[in-house]
Amino acid sequence: MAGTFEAPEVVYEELDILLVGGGMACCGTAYEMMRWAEALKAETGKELKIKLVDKAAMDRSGAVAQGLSAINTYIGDKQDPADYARMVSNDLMGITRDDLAYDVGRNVDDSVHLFEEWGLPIWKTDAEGVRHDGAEAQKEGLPALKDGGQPVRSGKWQIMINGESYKWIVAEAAKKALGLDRIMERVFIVHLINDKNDPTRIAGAAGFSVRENKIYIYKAKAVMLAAGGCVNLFRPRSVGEGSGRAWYPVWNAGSTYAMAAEAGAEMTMMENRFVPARFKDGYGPVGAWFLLFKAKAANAYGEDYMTKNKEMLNDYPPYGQAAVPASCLRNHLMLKEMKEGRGPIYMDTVTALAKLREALSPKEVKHLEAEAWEDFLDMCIGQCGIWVGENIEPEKKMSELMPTEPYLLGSHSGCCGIWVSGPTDLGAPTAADEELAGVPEHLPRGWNWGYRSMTTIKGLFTAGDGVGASGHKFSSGSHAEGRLAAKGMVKYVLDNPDINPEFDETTEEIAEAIWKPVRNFLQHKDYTTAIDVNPNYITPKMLQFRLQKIMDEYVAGVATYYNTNDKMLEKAEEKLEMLKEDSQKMRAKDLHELLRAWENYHRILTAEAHMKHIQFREESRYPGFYYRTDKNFVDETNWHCFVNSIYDKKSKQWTCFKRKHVDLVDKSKLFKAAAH
Amino acid sequence: MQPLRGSDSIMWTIKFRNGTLKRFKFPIRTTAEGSIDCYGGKPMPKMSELTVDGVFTRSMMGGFRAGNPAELIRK
Ligand SMILES: Cc1cc2nc3c(=O)[nH]c(=O)nc-3n(C[C@H](O)[C@H](O)[C@H](O)COP(=O)(O)OP(=O)(O)OC[C@H]3O[C@@H](n4cnc5c(N)ncnc54)[C@H](O)[C@@H]3O)c2cc1C
Repeated sequence: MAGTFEAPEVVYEELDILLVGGGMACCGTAYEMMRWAEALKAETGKELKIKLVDKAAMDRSGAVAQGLSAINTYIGDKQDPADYARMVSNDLMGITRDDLAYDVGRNVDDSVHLFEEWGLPIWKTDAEGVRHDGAEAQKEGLPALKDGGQPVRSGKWQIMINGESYKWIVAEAAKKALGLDRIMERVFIVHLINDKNDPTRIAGAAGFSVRENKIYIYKAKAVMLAAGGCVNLFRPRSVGEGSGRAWYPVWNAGSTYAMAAEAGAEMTMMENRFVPARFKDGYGPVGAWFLLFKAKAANAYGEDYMTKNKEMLNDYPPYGQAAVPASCLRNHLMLKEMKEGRGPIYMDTVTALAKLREALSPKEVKHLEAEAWEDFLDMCIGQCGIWVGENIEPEKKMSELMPTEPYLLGSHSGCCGIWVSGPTDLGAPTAADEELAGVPEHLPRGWNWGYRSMTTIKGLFTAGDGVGASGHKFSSGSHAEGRLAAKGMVKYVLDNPDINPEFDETTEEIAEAIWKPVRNFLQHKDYTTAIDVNPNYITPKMLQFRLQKIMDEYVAGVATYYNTNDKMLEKAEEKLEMLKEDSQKMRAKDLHELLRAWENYHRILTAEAHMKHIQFREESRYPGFYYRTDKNFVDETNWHCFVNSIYDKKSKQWTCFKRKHVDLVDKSKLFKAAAH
Repeated sequence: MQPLRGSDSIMWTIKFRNGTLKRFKFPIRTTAEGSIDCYGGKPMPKMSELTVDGVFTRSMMGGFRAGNPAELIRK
């Protein structure tokens, strides 16, 4: 029977494995998992019931939806996974898990080689050192990466691609692997369900269709939760007519973090954030400009602030002394110029292109110009809109740079996320190693508890933006990490043939909870004559404004130049609690608003985690991303550690605690080069 | 800004406020849409290898970077 808005249909399904999300990570999981599922069937006749659920359409879902112009993690045959783990650590101010980074590092190129085989055009350098775009390279007969082809490096770890259809290609392979029957698109997952008999075990997940009046409830032994990071929890710089423009595509709403926390999974480094300095208003990528075109950024008076303010790096030993300063410290130097009134900040595209012209032929110059535009057209069309709308030709006119509002993510240049079980062969701490005091009793000790990428909730796995304390995985690393998790998930299901999860709520309770914003609307809509004005409910949009205002003004948003302190955090804490209470009054007048309501709920929990972690960590670990003005220093003695937390969905309270940080690769190598 | 997306490339026509026109053409993929044979020529893993590190294509995609063991200081 087809459901109605008043009485939605409830669809119930039992699975072995559920994948939540259809981004880079889940596409990797699907690809790897289905091959192992085939092997299992061939060897034992046993068939696993697997399903992938995405809130959008996989061809264009997630952060890679618009395309990309570079693959930011490719190790190549000349670098060591240990170098990669060191870079990740350095950019994230020393607090990352080397086991996770190293494992991504040694496996990531396999995924990149597959992407190329599937049809992603990858730029190549020929024997004469001439660059060719991906299609031309193939026509010229240049070898594939896997056969020794040389990519065009835009940086130490990045390679250039023609990536307008990047996600389309990766999704096609994942969809082929799964088969269309195992895919549900346009279903938004609202919450995970724990096991009735063991609250530390997963039992399933529930959500609703954004197209039909249907609620979906899945029982599953194992769940992959990879629904991306979180955008729009802070008031964005672009409001009003520009709203919707943000650096991070607006569709990832913290679902990964909120649902994991509610399920009781241990979170890690939720104080971390990413504040990219990008082309102002369009948020176009700057990587190619800095790395490939060798452009410099300067204040309004032409001063290169990285040189001018370099002494400021000495305030943060040893991180300030690295050959390449961490992203946050680069912001720190830029912010000084802005705060002291020497903005706007510019990317000097004019000088960079003029210099390149001196060395190149007219044909190469034309190609170069196309490259500069492609960089935007492949992944951030809105930036081109600004350039043409403002008559900006990069060879004639410089472009403004600006640090954005903060975003939370774990796979780009950020490391917030979920605490997961890592690989066992890299020397990571085990249960026998010493841990800091204060870690709740029920949580595992050591960095491995049986299954790669499993969270501290049995059967709940994550990858990509979900895995915390790593970062710099990017598109390729997220795919590879999803693949590593797939094996852990299959193993978990095979090792536990007897688990028969039971829900800790009835299906009626689950369905009613999901439909609550609709009920709020239907019950009260006739109380007033204007649909948006009603004392009995709050529209998701208004609630979002309230959240963004709190975060912006008290939790180090752009309004305060990323400053906060203990007192401001206390205020935020109180206000967020009230907001969480009021979120129960959100209304949904249609399915689209129901989506918005639950996205905002996920944002609130994510925001709360962020705020609590910043409050707990009594230092400013990421100068340039945020400052606690009451503790405005990096404190290596007391805070060179992870900050982790758990959330209790019954009492709605967070508990934060420290975990010991251990190096698995030698970090001192980072700092030697810069010491003289 | 006007895109024209074909099967192997995308063409862009962009027009500036001052009327300047630019046209670009970029490749988007090197295989036909829908043609990916995702497991074609790929090994069928053995379940006994499920716990071995690496992905199932490790032996043939040339992407596994074993790393210098001396770099792992706690091993
Ligand atoms: C602006 C930007 C630029 C980037 N540029 C580059 C680059 O140049 N090079 C590079 O290599 N990497 C780049 N990255 C990084 C790369 O995009 C990410 O690392 C990668 O997409 C992370 O994969 P993921 O699967 O964790 O998340 P995503 O790929 O974002 O996928 C999340 C998935 O979850 C789904 N989802 C979300 N919420 C729900 C829910 N509640 N229920 C069901 N489904 C849900 C989404 O629809 C989506 O399918 C960039 C990222 C950003 C944000």
